[in-house]
Amino acid sequence: MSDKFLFINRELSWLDFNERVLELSKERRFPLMERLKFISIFSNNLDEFFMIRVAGVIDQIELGYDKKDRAGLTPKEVLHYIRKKVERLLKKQGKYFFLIKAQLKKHSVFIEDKFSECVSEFCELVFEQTILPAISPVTLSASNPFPFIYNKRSAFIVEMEKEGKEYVSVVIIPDKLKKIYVKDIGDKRYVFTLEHIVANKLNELFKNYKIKDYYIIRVTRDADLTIEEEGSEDLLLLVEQELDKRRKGQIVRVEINKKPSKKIEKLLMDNLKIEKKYIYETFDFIDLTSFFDFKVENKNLYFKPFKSYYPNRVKPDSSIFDYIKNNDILLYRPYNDFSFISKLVETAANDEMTLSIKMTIYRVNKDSSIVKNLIKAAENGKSVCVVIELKARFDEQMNVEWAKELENAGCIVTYGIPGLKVHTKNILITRNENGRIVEYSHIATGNYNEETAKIYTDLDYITAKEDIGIDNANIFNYLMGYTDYEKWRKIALAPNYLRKKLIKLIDNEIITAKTSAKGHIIIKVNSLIDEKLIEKLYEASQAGVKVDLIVRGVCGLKTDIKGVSENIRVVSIVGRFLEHPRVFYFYDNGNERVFISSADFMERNMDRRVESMIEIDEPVLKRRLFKLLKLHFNDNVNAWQLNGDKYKKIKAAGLRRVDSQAYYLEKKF
Amino acid sequence: MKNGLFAVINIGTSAFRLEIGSFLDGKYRQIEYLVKSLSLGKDTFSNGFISSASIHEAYDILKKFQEKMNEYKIGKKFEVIATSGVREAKNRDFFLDFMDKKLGMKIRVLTPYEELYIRYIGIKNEFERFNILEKGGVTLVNVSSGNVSIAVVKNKTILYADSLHFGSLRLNEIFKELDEKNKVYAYNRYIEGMISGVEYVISSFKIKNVVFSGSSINILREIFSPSNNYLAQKDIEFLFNEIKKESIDFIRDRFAIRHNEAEVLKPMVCVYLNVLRLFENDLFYFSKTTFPRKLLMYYSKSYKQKNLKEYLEKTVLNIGEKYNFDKRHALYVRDSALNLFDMLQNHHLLDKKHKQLLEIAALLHDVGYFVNEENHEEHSYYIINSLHLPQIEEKDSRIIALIALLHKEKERDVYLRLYNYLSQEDIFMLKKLVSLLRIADALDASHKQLIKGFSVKFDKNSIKIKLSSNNFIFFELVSLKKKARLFEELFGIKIEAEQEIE
Repeated sequence: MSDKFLFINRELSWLDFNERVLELSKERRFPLMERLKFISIFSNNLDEFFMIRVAGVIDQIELGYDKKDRAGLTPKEVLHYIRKKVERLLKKQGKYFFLIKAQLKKHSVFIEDKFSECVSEFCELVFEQTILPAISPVTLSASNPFPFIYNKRSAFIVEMEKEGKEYVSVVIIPDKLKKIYVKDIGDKRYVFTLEHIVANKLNELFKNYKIKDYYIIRVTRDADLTIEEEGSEDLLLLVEQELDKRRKGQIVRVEINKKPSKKIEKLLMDNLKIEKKYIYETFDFIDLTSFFDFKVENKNLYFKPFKSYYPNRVKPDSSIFDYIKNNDILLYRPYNDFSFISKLVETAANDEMTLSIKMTIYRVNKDSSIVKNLIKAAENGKSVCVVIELKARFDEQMNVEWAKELENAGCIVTYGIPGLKVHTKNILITRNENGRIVEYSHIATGNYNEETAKIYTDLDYITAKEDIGIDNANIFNYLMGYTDYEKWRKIALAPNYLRKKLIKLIDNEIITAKTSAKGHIIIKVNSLIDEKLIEKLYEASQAGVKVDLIVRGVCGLKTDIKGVSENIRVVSIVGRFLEHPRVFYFYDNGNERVFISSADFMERNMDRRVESMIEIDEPVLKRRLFKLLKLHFNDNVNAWQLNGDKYKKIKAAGLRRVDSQAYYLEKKF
Repeated sequence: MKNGLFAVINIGTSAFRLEIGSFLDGKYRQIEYLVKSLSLGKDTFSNGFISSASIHEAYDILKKFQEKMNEYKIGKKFEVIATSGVREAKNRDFFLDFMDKKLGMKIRVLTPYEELYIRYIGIKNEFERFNILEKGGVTLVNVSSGNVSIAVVKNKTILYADSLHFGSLRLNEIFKELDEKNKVYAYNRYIEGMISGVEYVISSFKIKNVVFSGSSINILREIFSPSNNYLAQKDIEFLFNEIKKESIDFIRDRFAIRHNEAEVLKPMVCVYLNVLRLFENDLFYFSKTTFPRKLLMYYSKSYKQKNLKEYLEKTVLNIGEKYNFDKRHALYVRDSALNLFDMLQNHHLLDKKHKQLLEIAALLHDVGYFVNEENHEEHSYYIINSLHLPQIEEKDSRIIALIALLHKEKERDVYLRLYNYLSQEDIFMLKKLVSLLRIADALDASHKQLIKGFSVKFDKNSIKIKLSSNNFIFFELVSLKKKARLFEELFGIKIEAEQEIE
């Protein structure tokens, strides 16, 4: 097999995914404000993509690495295609944004760029009282060099003239100022971005100058942390130091609101030390991420709220432990109420029989009630151990703060294993029930983040099964450095075991297909990029295994390659909720095994993270998961199909509409 | 054991292990099993002492284990056990003191024989038909990192026990400077040299059944994944041929074992082959239960031990016979001493454990006659000191030897230095036991068991021992007068004998 044609480049595949997110902002079935939110999410995603992924590609180019990847592209070619795609997507984003902006007017929401009379007083007040005291223009000269612009900050480059002499001034927009300003007049809401207010007031800012032209730019920097843990005595301190560097990383993108003149282009290239290809032309609304938090009163412009519920009418009160002992629980967020987990921890914190509570933290929200309940448990004299991942990208600062707070409360806090990120999501509650030690395990596919739990779909498995409890306890022992012992009964752990286990399961299907032509695999993940697993899936396809893949985001596998991937079908579900559970089904000669996992099919998850995968063997729960997979695979409302290396939206076209997300809003999981 | 939790920390030569288990209604469940690699054996077997870095690393591990025990509120229900890595270290006392001072953790250091005995009890409980096996005789071989201990057991008696210094890690350390290709040759010559001293004795028992235990078994189980609890000699020969010329890295990858396991595999296989040659049977059994589990069961008193008393008595009598003792006298003194112990309980206030020490001392007090009648008590002392008695800790073994030494009423100043390492409390306990043994010995001073029975009566100033016999006794009465002196001094009460002729 020639590698060149068998893989899709990861970065380009990711941009395809972000395009699918952007397409949600065009979905007429979605309310306008939600569509605006998708515009904002698209921008935020793109920021992160540049800060990490593009920064990585640029690093490779700068280091002189010019080998082709398995998609047949060198880093230079990848950067070239990224630029081409991003330019196209930005144009599309602009089109969709202005469309939404126009439609919002019909609902009395005016996203403005010019002051009309009725709001000019308000804008002036904002400018004078809030913005002006916070900005300091730097007019460039030999003694006033181009100022440093931190990551994700915008700035004005103003071309001026005074007494026949030309000047250029740079006005950096401070980070602490609000990005969106709102004025309600009657039933009308006028909305301004900070940049627009400044733009309208440039004449006042440079009173003695004639403004010739101005540009708004926004800078994105390399924000990947390089943490050399080896030999580090205090990881907490090291992460704090590195966080400061993130704000000052190398520039990887400069967005500009319009095509720059040659002079400005050179000014930017010289002073920001970038090449021309790093400059991306957008439009006046330069930071659309700021619309994520923008709200209006009109409820019709939002998704109809839904009431999430506890599964099987179970209540996480003191009777919960008896219930779990007899019944495994599977929650499907956000349809099921994620507060169940926090309540479970709270119940344990106040429960006399509880000896200890252990938990891994990768991403938690700011006011996490789960973490607060852990602190309460420690205060109640329980042994509380928390494995906190200080290197969780973009959540490092918050995790550092949580670590300090938990330590102060008397919890044992550890930071996992050097060189590995702890991505597995586990809670272990151990009780001494009149001499019988019982472990209650919670294993999830998604983070303990109560905010994202409202918009990400995920699975939470709760059980008192002894084998799982022992494995779960050993995971914590391993992560906390209590043991080097690695023997797992029910949980397959990455690194070391997870990929091997998956390959064994796929191999098993290959054997089944060869003997009975019945092999069937369904994999639902966020990303599929691990080369070894992709190759194994190709092998399965070649052996006649039916391979159904539900890959929301990056997919390095190509479909429809003759003799290679003809039995593989890939769909991507991108909808109201961000699809996040990892669920794997294997036919296994009719035994039909189903697993859930915290891991994507990526090298980083298999080799550089601690991840877990667990088999769900309760028949009722297995059936539920199988149904979930089937429903997603048959979705014709939120789904895109991969044909070769191109995605195409699946349309119901006369068929019965299957909306996997709407289904669970109406029917119980 | 009663319902509840129990924990054991095992400080082995290559790793530290913690097992926490719960007992509920007679059922055991392992709650935690932690393993942290730290090769104290490498230090001890190479340099003779545990390095400062290893001591601090050991401290970190034990501290974490202590945290884990606190999590389960284990309280005092735990034991910390160390084997040869600590036992043979010149700075062992410093190591023990360091952990005691810093962690409040008292570490019990097992002798190879105690270790072997616990493994034996474990195997006895693990193998359903062990008693049948034992009737024909079983050789227990414990191949650990430091030593190879061998015990021959037949009819509830340990016929032979010895511990030889050729454990796999020790061999690895001794020959670590050698070129890889010469190592196997060196291992074999070294082991052969060690075995030659015991080969004849072990072979003479003609025992067919062999049970192996020790950390080495875990490695073999990983390699062979046997479905039953036995392996064949030819399996080990196959393994030997597979690895004898290979590098450590190759061995590690070939058998998917850890690096430190791969390091000791060659010497370990050499040990097995050399030991197996002593036996005719191609198959050998192995114990699946880990040593920490055996320790946990043993120290939590969860093993069925109903025959253990009998087993100890048989082993002690077997030793007595080996030294050609006067069995009838020994049994008579033993019975008398135990009767006195019970009758005078309100005076001496000693417990069950002390009674056991008295019993063994009473059975063996005269074994020194085997060497010479003159100063026989001194010969008894060093003979008993050289023994490895099952269930009896090293310190208690010393006390038994001292009781035997002091059973003769003469006391030399040199004896004082023999027990000056004991605490005041222990010295007092020793003297009480000696005083009882002396009276019991006096009651059969003629070695003819003339006194058929005795009873004890108390009044304010004396204890009256009423002796019944068929004929008039003289020698015993004179002897009693002399030998009761220590008792009278200790308890401040006179012993008066009364004779009753039936």
